[in-house]
Amino acid sequence: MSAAMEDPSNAVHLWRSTPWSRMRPEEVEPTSIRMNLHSVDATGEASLDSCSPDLFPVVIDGPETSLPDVEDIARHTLANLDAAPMRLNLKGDHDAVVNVDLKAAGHVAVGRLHITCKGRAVVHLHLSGDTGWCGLHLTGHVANGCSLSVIVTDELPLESRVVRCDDWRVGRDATFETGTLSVGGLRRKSDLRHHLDATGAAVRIGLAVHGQGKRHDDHHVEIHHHKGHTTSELVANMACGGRSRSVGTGRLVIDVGADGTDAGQVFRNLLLSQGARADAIPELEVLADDVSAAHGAASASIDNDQLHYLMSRGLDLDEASAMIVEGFLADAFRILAAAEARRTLRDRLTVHLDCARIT
Amino acid sequence: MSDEARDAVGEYRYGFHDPEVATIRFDKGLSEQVVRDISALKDEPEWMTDLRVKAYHHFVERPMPDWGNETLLNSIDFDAVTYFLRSSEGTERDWDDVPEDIKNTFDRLGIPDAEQKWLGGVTAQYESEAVYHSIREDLEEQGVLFLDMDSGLRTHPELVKRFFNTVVPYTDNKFSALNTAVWSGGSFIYVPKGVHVEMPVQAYFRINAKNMGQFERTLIIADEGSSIHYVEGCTAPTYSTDSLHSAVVELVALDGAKIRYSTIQNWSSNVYNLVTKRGVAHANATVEWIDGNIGSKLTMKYPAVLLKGEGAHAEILSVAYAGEGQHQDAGSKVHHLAPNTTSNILSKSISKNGGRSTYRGMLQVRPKAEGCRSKVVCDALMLDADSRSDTYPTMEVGNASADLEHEASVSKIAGDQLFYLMSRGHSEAEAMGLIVNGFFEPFTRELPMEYASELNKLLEIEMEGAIG
Repeated sequence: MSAAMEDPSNAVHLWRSTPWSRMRPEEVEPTSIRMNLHSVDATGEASLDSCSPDLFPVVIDGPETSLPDVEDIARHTLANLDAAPMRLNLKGDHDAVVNVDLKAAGHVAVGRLHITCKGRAVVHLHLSGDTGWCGLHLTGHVANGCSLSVIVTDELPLESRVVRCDDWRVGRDATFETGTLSVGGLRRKSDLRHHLDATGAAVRIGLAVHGQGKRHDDHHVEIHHHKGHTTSELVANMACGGRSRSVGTGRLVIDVGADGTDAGQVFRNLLLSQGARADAIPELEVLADDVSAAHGAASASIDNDQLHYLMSRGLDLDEASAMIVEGFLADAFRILAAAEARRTLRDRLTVHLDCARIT
Repeated sequence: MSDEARDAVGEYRYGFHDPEVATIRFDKGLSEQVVRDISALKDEPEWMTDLRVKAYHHFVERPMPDWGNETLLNSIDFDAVTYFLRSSEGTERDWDDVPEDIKNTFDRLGIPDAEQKWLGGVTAQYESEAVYHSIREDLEEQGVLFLDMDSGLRTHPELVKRFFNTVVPYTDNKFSALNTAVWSGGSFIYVPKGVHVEMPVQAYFRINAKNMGQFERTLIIADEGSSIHYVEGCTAPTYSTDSLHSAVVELVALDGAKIRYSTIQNWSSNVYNLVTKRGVAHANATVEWIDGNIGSKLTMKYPAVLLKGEGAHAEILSVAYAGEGQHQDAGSKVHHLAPNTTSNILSKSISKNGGRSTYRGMLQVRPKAEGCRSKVVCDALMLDADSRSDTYPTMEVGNASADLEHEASVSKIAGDQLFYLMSRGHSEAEAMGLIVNGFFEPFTRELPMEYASELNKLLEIEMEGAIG
């Protein structure tokens, strides 16, 4: 258990849009998130066991650089609250999706999960439960030449708060993909960091956010290219309705000597109502010259031409709008190469949007 | 690119300096008394003295920004700066009346020559105050006021009082507070209703003394339906010790007016260039910043436009060159406060020989700003592995009808482009020069012809000299 940390000031970039004071858990006895691994097919091996807290350093340093914000309050808090970290070991090639249920119960629920992949696998982490505050720290390592896709969906209560931290390391010629469908909870802060440690490493990140009511959804995504000839791609699509607010910040760092890097980030906001607000801050820090790095951000309302096209084919305004929103959000997952990952996320999205329309 | 091509970036040709000429020189360091003495020396109205003193206290209390290049910012020794130096007894209207050494300096900078050929008016500032000022008679007859700021305050105190400190209040940031406390010189322009100033007017700022601080203050007011193009240039000698340039520029474009403000900043590499530039555009008005950053050790400059009236438009076009030991931290800010406002931002930067260029931008749409459109494009070229390029754009959208786009890219010069040009007989260096020229072309085409050729010469020294 480490010593308490001071709250970061609002001037700290990471906490500017979502102050920690609004995300901090209540001071009650935390409950560990119950993790349950579904049976897996015979093609690969998977095991879920308790593990040493050492796999969850407060902040993981890169191999040749130390991260600037070493004193990170969220990771620190999760390390202090969670007494039962878990580890998911994956070996061999998994043809079917590896499903892990994460049940978060009680006022404050905390879980830490470390995933190691020595093969090829798609992991679906499904977060549910009746918790008021949920803290989740995911770390993992994709071994050289291996491939891991992690998709995260949730069904948390509408009034819950969620803090999620990720620290992923990707080895030589390895591929890591992650897809997140953020639709649950009232207030959410994610800090997702990815390190491409060796030549040939690839990261693809798809993020879809559906803001309704007064949801506040803040996602910070960092991608560090430590070595050359690595690739990364991020697509974040955020549809904001009601009086919701979405914040998407990206930090793409290409280290000295990481030549041959190819990196791209796109943040798109679809504003569905007058009271909604969307902020995008995609940042680039490039310290190598022979690279291709680009980012883009766009914000707009639903295109009237698209509405007109669909309505001229018999859909009413609500149906046409819903179809456009669904297509927009699903598009974030198109960059994921694993078809099972795309399909699972798409199915979850459809269910969510159907429920949202009914309610 | 060959090493020869990389290494041969030319020398700073404006790095010469003249013997120091001072009729009044304050001791180094800043205190309330220094602020009061500057105000007393200029025989200012009481409200201005009070404002200066308030700003001084705000400057002292306000911490240094904790973002940007903190290492360089915290290395500024405010006690080592001379805050006021008067080098001439008055502002002359004839170059022959300007002290010989100073006139020679501006001759070498080509200002009198440019004035004759293509300018509607000129202000030449040397150290803290203007030494030369003129305006074409026909503009004067139309009621256009083009004065140095000190004269503007003396002769039109009510107009100055109405607008001064309203666009950039001294509480805006630490350096706007410093400028408000110790400002001296700069330009004051008022363009009456419906008057279009066809020829650009120019101000040229020159720091000559060591450890000098230059704090000019510029206020431009374009009344309804009028237009003006203001051009600004800056140079300084190369010393081993640092100088500080901290200007504030306030632009007010009233209904239907248009202000274009073009700057080529070419300070020597020992100058900290920490300026605040902001314009307000009322209904159907346009504010344009055409901003070139070639020199200085550290530049922090984010020209901003507040689109306050319906139908207002902002255009910001900037280029930056960051060479050895330089950090160009530049960008742009546009705040859409009113409906149907539009903006366009294009930023281009080149980093070379370990230089660092940073784009820091803010694009904000407030909830009541219905139907706004904006496009932001940032392109960066890295010419070697020692350099660095950062992009920090912020987009805040509070109205669903807004249509905003931002795109940025960082790359090196493409091998196939070089190959294409070299296969047609150009050397590698010439090919690089052509590509760099093309990269900056959207900027240079917006400058007056003569100024564009001046910029091309600058770039020739900084870039093409290296390459061809």
